Amino acid sequence: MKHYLTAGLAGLVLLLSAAEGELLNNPKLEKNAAGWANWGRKQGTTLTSTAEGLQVKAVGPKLNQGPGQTLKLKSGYEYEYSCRLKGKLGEHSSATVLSWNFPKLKRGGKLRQIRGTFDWWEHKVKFTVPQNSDGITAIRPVILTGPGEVMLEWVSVKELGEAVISRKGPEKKIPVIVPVKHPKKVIDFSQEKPVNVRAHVNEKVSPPPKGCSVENRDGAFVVNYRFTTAGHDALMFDIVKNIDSCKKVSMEITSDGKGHRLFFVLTDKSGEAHLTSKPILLNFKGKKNFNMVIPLPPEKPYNILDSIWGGDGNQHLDLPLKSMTVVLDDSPDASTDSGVITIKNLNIGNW
Amino acid sequence: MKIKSLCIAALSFLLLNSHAEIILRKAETAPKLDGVIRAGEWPEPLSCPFKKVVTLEPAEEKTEVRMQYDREYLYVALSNPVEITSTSSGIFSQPRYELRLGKLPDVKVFAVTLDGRHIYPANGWDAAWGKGVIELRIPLSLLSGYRIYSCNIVCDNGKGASSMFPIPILNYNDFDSMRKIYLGNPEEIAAAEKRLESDNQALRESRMEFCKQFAGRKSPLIVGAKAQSFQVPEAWKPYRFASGKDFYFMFLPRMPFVPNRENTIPLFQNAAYQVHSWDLDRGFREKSQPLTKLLNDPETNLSGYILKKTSNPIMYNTESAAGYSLPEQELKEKKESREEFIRKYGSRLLCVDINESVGAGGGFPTMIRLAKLPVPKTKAEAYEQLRKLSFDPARTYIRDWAVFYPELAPYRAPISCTHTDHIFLSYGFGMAGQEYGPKTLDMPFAHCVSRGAARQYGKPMRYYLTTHDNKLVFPGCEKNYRNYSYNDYRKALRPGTRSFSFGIKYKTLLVGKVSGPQYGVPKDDWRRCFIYTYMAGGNVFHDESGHYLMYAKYNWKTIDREDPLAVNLREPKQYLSDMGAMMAEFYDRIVCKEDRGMVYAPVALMWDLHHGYFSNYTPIPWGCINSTEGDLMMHSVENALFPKSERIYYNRGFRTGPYGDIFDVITNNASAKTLNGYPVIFFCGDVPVNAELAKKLVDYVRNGGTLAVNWKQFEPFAKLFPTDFPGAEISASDRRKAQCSYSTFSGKMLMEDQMFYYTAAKLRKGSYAAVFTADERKDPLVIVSTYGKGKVILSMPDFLKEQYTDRMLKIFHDLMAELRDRTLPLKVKGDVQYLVHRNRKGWLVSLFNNYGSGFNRTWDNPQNQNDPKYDVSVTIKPGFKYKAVREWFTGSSQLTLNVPAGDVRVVEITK
Repeated sequence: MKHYLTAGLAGLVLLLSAAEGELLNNPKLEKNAAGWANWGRKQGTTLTSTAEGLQVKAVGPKLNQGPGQTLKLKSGYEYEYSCRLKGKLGEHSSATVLSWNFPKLKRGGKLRQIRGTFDWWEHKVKFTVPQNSDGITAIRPVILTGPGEVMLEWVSVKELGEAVISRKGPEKKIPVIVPVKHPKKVIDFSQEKPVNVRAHVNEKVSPPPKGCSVENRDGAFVVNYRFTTAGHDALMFDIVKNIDSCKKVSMEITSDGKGHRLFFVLTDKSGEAHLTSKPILLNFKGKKNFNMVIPLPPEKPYNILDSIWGGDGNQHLDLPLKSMTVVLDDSPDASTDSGVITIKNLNIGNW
Repeated sequence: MKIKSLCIAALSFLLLNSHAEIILRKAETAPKLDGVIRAGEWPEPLSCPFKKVVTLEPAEEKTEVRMQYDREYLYVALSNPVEITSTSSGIFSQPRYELRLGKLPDVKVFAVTLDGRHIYPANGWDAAWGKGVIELRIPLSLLSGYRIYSCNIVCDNGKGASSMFPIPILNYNDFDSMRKIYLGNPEEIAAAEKRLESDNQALRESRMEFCKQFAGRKSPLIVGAKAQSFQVPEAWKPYRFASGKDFYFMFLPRMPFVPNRENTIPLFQNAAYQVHSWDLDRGFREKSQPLTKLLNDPETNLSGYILKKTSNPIMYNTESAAGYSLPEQELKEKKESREEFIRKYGSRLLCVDINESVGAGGGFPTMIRLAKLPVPKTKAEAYEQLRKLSFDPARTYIRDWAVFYPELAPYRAPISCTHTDHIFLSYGFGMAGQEYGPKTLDMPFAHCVSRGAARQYGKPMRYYLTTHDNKLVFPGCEKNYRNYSYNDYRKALRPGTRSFSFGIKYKTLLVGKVSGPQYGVPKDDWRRCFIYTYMAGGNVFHDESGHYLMYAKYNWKTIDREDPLAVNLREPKQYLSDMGAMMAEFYDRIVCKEDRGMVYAPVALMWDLHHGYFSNYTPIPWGCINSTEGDLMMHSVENALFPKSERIYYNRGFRTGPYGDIFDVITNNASAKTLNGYPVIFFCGDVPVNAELAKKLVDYVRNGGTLAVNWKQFEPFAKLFPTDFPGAEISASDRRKAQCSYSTFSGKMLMEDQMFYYTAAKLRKGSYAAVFTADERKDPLVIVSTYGKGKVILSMPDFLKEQYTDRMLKIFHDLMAELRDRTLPLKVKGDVQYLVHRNRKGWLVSLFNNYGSGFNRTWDNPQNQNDPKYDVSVTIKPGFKYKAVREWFTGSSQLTLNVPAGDVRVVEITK
């Protein structure tokens, strides 16, 4: 009897020590992952407890998500993040394993992406919560893309202690990125004249092909385009104006729904051109309002980006802008096509 | 007495600020080396509390350092030495103190373990361990410089490192962190140094005067019949694969230019491809059933495509995900898959390949620790341990999981970033070769070793290039642990694109990374690498960054004229990059059309098969065996044949040797056929000789070979040879020393930097002292004798090297120059690296100008033009009649030609 008690006590101690320091709620994902959110519920992703663990199953072709839990961690601390899983994915599917995200900073990380069929394996990674984070961390052990099944036996997040990162000295000399300050204002382009209308014809800068035109009609830029080659074609025009605030842009677009793309190029004080990193997809028919932050890639020390060229070459958006270029790009390049796009109430600034 | 003590204290004052120099006191009487600090025996400790490396926090240990000197020695006492807290996680393989001393840049390392064994160098200095004290006695003759030395002491307690003078970066050899110690008053030292120079000059002049009497005395021919015939053995022909080809560029199938796909060119059509478990875009090296997964890889994937839709040769990488210790039960590769793989693809399989099989992660000492094997006492024991580890059925000690499966065993071909070639081939593995790169490993020497091994065992040799750079430092990154830059074209839409980031290594250390088409190594340096491997006889060349740099998303010929906006908006296409074009051009013009013949390497360096000479990783044999003077000779020979030059940007990889790349390395188990192929065999290091080898060597010389051996190498085995084999009678006990000699090779007096020791010899009849002491005794130092049709060259100075250092004597250099001149069918004049080849038409000379590229490149101008100031004019003087001359790249028919900085020329001389 004494032996049983001793063994039982030892077992309890082991159990307690195993769970010691665990920060996740329901790390074994029991009861259909109670305490976990199903981020993929809308896409039809299911979380089902089985004898082997939690089955994460998806059938849709695109991003299907998976289980998630949000933790409040300590800034500047290091954590060990691990899980054990196996899976079987469709041909074009993938599973992102052990991802974490700091919503405030809009960044995070992941351990790896797996495709195909994979057997039981314990995955482990360490991460540090950045000093400038509020500590809120989204923990997502598996994110499924495409159809497939993943069996999760357990997930764990444990604190390792204060992160020791020696950044003394070195970073001081690295250029400090000064964020661009955009004064609060709205700059209205609706009465501006489109100038310097030009085209790309099969990748070459050319005069606009016959039939192309851009004009300001009743406060709207009416773009008549013709893409004539199987290569890259585009039609573009400039709005030349001193622009001292350009964080956001808004407009009403009337699209012909042919799937082409709208880009902007901001030409700064020195003549350096900054191309927006994400286009507006013109895959809708009819009118649609846009009110968005102008998507420019983040500025990082020493980086030289393809999307920035000319001018003083400092890779920094120096206000005021000299001009903004509106670019209608054919998509795909192979398309030969024509149509009309209208951009009304084009405003830029910071609001 | 009190005043005297005060004076001593005043003399031994120690300045505390960080840049202060330290003036040591002269010991009145030499301290007893017994591990005990007695009153008055040592000065006060230096006020230099140890600080942790990199973080510069105060170290936990409170080591006190005392230093003093006398006429002959520097004395160091370390009290309160650290306790070993761990043996597994430190930077060094064994917890220890390392004392670094010398005149920059020639700093010597004296390493002393905490457990009572001094380990490196094994000889020439002394240490004693007591309770809480380690005392060292170092002869000043071991140190370069005169009474002013740069110094630091590093300590590793098994957990982390600390140092006497702060080291802010993880580089214990960081000269900036060293401080000067003065052995006496600086003014006195300066005056004494001047006197010394003057004395040396007087000695030099008097010896030169003495040597005038020998002017005109010429050495007889020192090589046998074999060297004079310039015959090239069949065994030297490059290895031919079953396909009939003798060379493949090899690529990862991540590249879009796989054979039979759009845009492909002959370089890619005819290449070999590496298929492995981690190119399937699963993001990490498969840990279970990788071969099964590879077989199931669909044809739409590149690996699947290579396997199933092409007939190109392949290599299969069996590098384990867990590095040096993956158990089989985690791999679980199916027998049916192994059999299917070999059945379907075995005929195309060049090998299953592993790189860095011994070395990274601590090397051999780490392996034996993992395997719980005892530290070997001899090299032969270490050799057998590595064999055991290489075939261990339970774990992947050399990273290679093919060890578990008999179906893959015949294809195993591990290589290392050091000289494991002969050792691995003797275990039965399939290929010689090494990992090398501009910043990685002595390139010509690595090829000498691999080529010799390949010829000795009749196997192919493959080379694995590490291309990245570690020299470009961005402002603010000077103190980083590492700064890497990569020739990475993968994401760039334009040549000027640059991506900069930081990483963290070992939890705390910053690593800077920069990638972009203009970063990484200078492109001409990269070009010289693959041309060198091809011309040096390589059979497979694989650039580990090939998939970064062979293709680009822009056309490098037109991109300058293209509109940046259009470049951004158009759908990306794949083009051959400018670097890819370099290789493609070389492939089309040279590999496909010219006959590289075979490398003519008339001098074989003979090593012990069990050598453990892993010079890239460790200064001592196998990383754990005390080194001898013979072992130091191996380092010294490498340094002498392929010296590092401050004039070469990547001087770790690129070397311009004064004697050309005329060497192969063979080992003492080589067959008679292998030995007989070489006109000259030169013993290097401690080379055990048994009766069988002795007989082979005697026959070799009798048949026209030339054997160059040092008395220290020959003496232990002299009884195995006929008494008249060496050309002298030697009394081993008659030991003498000298500093000057006269050489009949060059007709010059040779004055060494320090005294050397030698054994006196009496010439036999018919023998000749080609080099002798430049004094009245005229003791023979290099003795040439005839035996059969061949020659024996016996040298008498111990290992032909400076005692306890890694430098050969000038006598060695003089001998080597003579051997070069007597064994090559032509002379190459000009400061250039060269290889000599024999092809079907006649002779070739490959010329590599390592100078003038790389220097003056900066973080914002990384691919600057080569400096024409470093163009080299080279003249080739054939010693035979010839019909025509043609340079392969320019078509020139001149034997005097300009080799532009960083460039290559190959001159074909048709007989």
